Amino acid sequence: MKAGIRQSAAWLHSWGGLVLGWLCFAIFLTGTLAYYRQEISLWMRPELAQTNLFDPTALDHIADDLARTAPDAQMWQFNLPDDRHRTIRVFYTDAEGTYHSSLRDPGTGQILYPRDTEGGDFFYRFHFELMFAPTPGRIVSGICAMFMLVAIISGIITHRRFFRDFFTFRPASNPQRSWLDGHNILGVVGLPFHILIIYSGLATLMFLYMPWGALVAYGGDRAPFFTEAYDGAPPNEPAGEQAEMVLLSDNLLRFQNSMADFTPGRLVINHPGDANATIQVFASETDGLSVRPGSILIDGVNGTELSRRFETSTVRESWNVIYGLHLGRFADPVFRFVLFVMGLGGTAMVGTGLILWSVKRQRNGAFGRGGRIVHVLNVATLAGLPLAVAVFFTANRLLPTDIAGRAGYEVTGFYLAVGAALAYAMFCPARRIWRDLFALIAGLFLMLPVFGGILGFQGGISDLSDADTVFLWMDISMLIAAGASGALAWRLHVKGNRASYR
Amino acid sequence: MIDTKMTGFPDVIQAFAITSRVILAVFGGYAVAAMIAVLLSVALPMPRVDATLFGMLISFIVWAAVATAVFLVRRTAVAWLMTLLFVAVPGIAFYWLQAGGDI
Repeated sequence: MKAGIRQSAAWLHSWGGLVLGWLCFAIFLTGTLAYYRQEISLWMRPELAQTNLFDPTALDHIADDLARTAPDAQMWQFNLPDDRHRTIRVFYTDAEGTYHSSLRDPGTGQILYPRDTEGGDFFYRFHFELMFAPTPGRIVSGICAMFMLVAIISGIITHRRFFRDFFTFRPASNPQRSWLDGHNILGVVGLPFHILIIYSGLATLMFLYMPWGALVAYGGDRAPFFTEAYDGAPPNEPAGEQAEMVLLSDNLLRFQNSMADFTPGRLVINHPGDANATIQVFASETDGLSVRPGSILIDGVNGTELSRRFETSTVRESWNVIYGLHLGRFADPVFRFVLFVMGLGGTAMVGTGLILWSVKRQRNGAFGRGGRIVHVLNVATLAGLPLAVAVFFTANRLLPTDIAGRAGYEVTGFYLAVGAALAYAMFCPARRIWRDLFALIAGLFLMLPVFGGILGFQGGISDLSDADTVFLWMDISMLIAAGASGALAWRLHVKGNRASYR
Repeated sequence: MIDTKMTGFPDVIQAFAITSRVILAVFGGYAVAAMIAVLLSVALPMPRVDATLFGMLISFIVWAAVATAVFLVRRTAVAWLMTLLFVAVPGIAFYWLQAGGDI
């Protein structure tokens, strides 16, 4: 590495980018989709379009139901409906600590049985766990994120004329220059977003990535650290005696009415039905940047307020805000769309970088041996993942709603689509692959709104209530995705028989 | 597929230099970041939960900086020495603090 700093940085950027770029593309794409996690979930469970309005007494019905059906539960959690959630999401842990969850009608508290699907949660989890088990997956995505930080630094060093190139785009020039210009523009325009989103992503999982400080400062037992870091209530032990609980609805309304700027978002009931039961009312995350805006702890039996926490230390608040910025739960529809577009820009930045790598090393339209592998993997991710998303949605619409393991089949469809794109790239001449796959993606996205209409899933455009607005925008988005993929496929078709990338 | 034109070194030395720097960037960078996080968690004059969180938040910036620096230094030996130094300095400071502040 005798050559200059710029050459070393360029080497690091292009080879590191090659090794981790495919995973980074998957992380960026699914993370971008996860901005619309709730909307996708609703679209994939059209049965939930008609739910009742929220009535706090539904919480009391749920509490009665859980006390009867799960008397050994250690903890209940009720996530309340808001602008983006139209059900009460109920979680509880049984005596063995196993999680159970259900969706409940916000008006009656009855369990809802929509079609079995992971919905938008699939993209959310795939975003940081990829196709691996949770812990290894999170470590792999952490490595990707760290690399992307280094890639950004080395990319800036590599970039000779940072601001002049900002205004340089040569679409009709030779392919290598156009891909490079595209990659640079996307990288430079999105730079503040990329730095923020990558760093905050690392911060969301930092207890896993960097546990050493907590282990040393807390002498090996991290439980008190977690309690303090989350501003949690100190753990309380069950008394072992049964006791009548206060009505949840009364207490919810009590705080909602007495505190002007307090929107309850979540209730956590510890040791329900026990004499030492507590109820913690958490403020909704949608009102501010922080992911932990505060909570009130009350006695579960007599309703007295035990403590409240709305202020925290500067460091903890900084961490909560960095965390909240990554999740974007505070975003209103317009800002959410801006975040989504910036996410797409980041996805495209990684994608153009990968194509650039391939184009740069082509000689007269031919790949070397290594270049062939890169090409196949490029197809499997850059075209395979969008295809997988389309197949995932299509499976949701076409699979019968009553088959066992339905959610698993949708996910299988997602992976099969990536595998199919990979196989197609291996056995098909390079010049046809991109055109064919994007034409297929366009076709699927074009059909999706039609499936919804034909099979009568939607409430209809005539009634523009909230739910229908979500379905309408999902349909419009799919048509836009279809149009973009179709235009790309058409352009590749017209360009015809020249080399495989241009 | 390593492009020797980029550095002008023969392949074997080139491969050694690259492997060694990747190891340094990933594990060396992590070691420096972890050491700084540990030092800050006990050294900062604030409640230990905040000191610990602050150390964690800073550590990723440290890691990225070390990983980049390792690739920008001209000589591999210097990259190793530099990383060792970055681990050693906070490491010594930490043990000095743990020993009660005086030796």
